[in-house]
Formats: sequence, structure tokens, C-alpha cells
Amino acid sequence: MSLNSTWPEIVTNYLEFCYYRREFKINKIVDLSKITFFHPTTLLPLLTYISENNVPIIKPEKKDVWRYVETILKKKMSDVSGKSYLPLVTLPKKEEECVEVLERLYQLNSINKIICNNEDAFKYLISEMVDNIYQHSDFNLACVMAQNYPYRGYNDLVFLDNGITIPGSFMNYGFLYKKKNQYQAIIDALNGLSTKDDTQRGYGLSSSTKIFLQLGGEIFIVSGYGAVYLSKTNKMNFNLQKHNMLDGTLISIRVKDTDEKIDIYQFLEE
Amino acid sequence: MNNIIVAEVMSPNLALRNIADSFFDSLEKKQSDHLQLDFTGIKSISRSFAHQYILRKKNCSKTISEVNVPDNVIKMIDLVTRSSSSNKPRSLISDLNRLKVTML
Repeated sequence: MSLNSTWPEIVTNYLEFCYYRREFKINKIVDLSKITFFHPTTLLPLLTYISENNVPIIKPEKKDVWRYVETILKKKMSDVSGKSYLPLVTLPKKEEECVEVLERLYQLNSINKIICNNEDAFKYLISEMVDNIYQHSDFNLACVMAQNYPYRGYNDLVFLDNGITIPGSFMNYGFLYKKKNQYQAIIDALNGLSTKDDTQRGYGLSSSTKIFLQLGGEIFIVSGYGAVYLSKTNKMNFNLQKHNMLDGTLISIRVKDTDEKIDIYQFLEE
Repeated sequence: MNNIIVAEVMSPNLALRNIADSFFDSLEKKQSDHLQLDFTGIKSISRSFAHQYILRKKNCSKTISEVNVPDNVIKMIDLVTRSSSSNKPRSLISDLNRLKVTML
């Protein structure tokens, strides 16, 4: 698998998932034997794909890598407190059952600098991203995963759903996006376009993005045939070829550990 | 007057629009016409929840009063209320539309 080394790592992490998905379509098996490390942006879509399609796999030769995968899959959320990771959490279909899930997700905030100093920002991000999944995606499967890397100095947080996609959601309301410009739907969502008929809608994704960019974060959004990458210093729009498209939406956020404390309200004053 | 401790009915962290809707649906079923919402123990509120709360409160058949409201909740509710009545255009995440598009 050859990847463009100039692309941000969370972009190449997603492409690693696409590589394994393509491998399954050709060889009917996924060979993970040579894997030495998994980031959530690879692992979360990969595990859900494996689960949804009953994909046979060749396990990683490195035992600690496979142990990590098993932990992410099997660990219960009740064991999260004090840990550096959030295991794969599936959002319940019934939104009223999600309140307890959200409370467990917030527990991750006790772990490290970025999140400890910015509890408001962290809770805001989680609640707005999850609300968007329920409001817009019409999902069958939606999940969240998070990992803190204290030695690498950053945190990865990934949201994934297999719903109708951002372009799909807009197209249901009469906005047209061809395959070659579905990234435009993501841009429009980032800039507050909403399918709901209220001027106070469409703030969740845009304000969360601004908050985490200010904290030095990176955000990569993949939906349908489009993708957008953002950081304070770099912005990229992508058209995805068929083998890299996503039937759903993935939002990957990487934030470095920092002592900076942010006032989220300055980003909500619009 | 009926006193309702919000954190016990929902959660200390107020999030999700539909949860705000379900909350007000339950308030509409209360016998009392005047309901006091006690925000003791509330730690956070999302913008989405605050917006839905404001919408539902405006159209609620009950008289709602709030007590022990934390500063961050007051701030969020005020922010959404001001935003609703403001004509100020939204600030955009700049330059995205002018970027070259990469095929992946």
C-alpha cells in the first residue's frame, strides 16, 4: 500500500481502512498480520466493516496489537474511568437510551491535559456530534472511539455512522451534489447549512470545528464521495474515488495535549 | 407549584434535542400549571439542547420558572436567545470554497 506521505496522518489512517476494505473485496479475507499499530481512524471503520460483512481476518502477528483490538471491542464502558482510551461504543438506536452512553463518554475527560483543561469543549463536541448523528443520519449503526497517546502527545476521537451521508441528507431536501463535488456538501455543513428550517440550526458541526481548530486540532470528515481536512495551517478538499468512498460519515478529530484553556462561548457567539 | 430537579429527570449534562423534547413532553403531562425547574447539579448544556429548550418553553402550556441555574447554562441560553434575534451573518470557516480539490 503506497500512501502520499505529504498527507496528514489522519487522512492516511482512513486510507489504510480503505486498503483493507478493498483487499477483502478482492481476496475475501483481510490480512492484518503485518500491522504494528492501529489508529482509531483506521480501526473504527475497519472493525465495523468486519462486523457488518462477516469478514474473515488473519490476526496481527504482534500479540499486543491484537490484544489492543480485543480490548477496544470487548471492554465495557463501565471500565473506562481512569483509562487512556474509550472502547468502541455503539450508540443506541433509541435516542432516550443515549443519555447514559453520553455520561460514560464524558468520563474520558478525566484523563489528560487537553480534555481536563477543556471539559466544556470536550462535552460540547461529544454532545453536538452525537446530536447530529441522531438528527440527520438515519443510521443503523453509529459508534464512537477515542484514544489518548500520552507519549505521542495527542488524542484521537472518531465518530462513525452508516447513515445517509451529509450530501445524502442535503439531497433529501432538494440540495443537489454530484459525486464529483460531494465535498461541497461537507463544506456547506461546516458553514452552517442545515436541512432544518430554522436559522438557529446548523451550528453544531461548525462551532465544534472552530473550537477544536483553535485548540490546534485537526479534523477530517469523510461522507459519501467527499472529504475535507482542516487544521489551523492546512485545509484540503477531496473527491473520493469509488474504492475510497464511505457509505456513511466519519468524523476524525486529533488534538494535541495542551495546557491552553479555551472559552467555547466566543465560538458560539454568531 | 411543582418543583422538578432537572439533573435527576435527565442528566447533569444537558444534551441532544430530542431529550429536550421528551422532557417538555413529560412536563405537559404534569397536573400543575406552574412548574419550577431546579437546575441544581447541572454541569453543562449543549447549544442544541439550549435552543430546543427555548423553543419548547416558548410554546409550553405551563408556566415555567427556573431556579439555581448555573452561570454556564445562563450564558448558553442568553447566547442562543440573542443569536435568534440577531441579523448578524454567520462567520464562515474561511477559504474552503477556493481550495484546489484533490482526487483520492
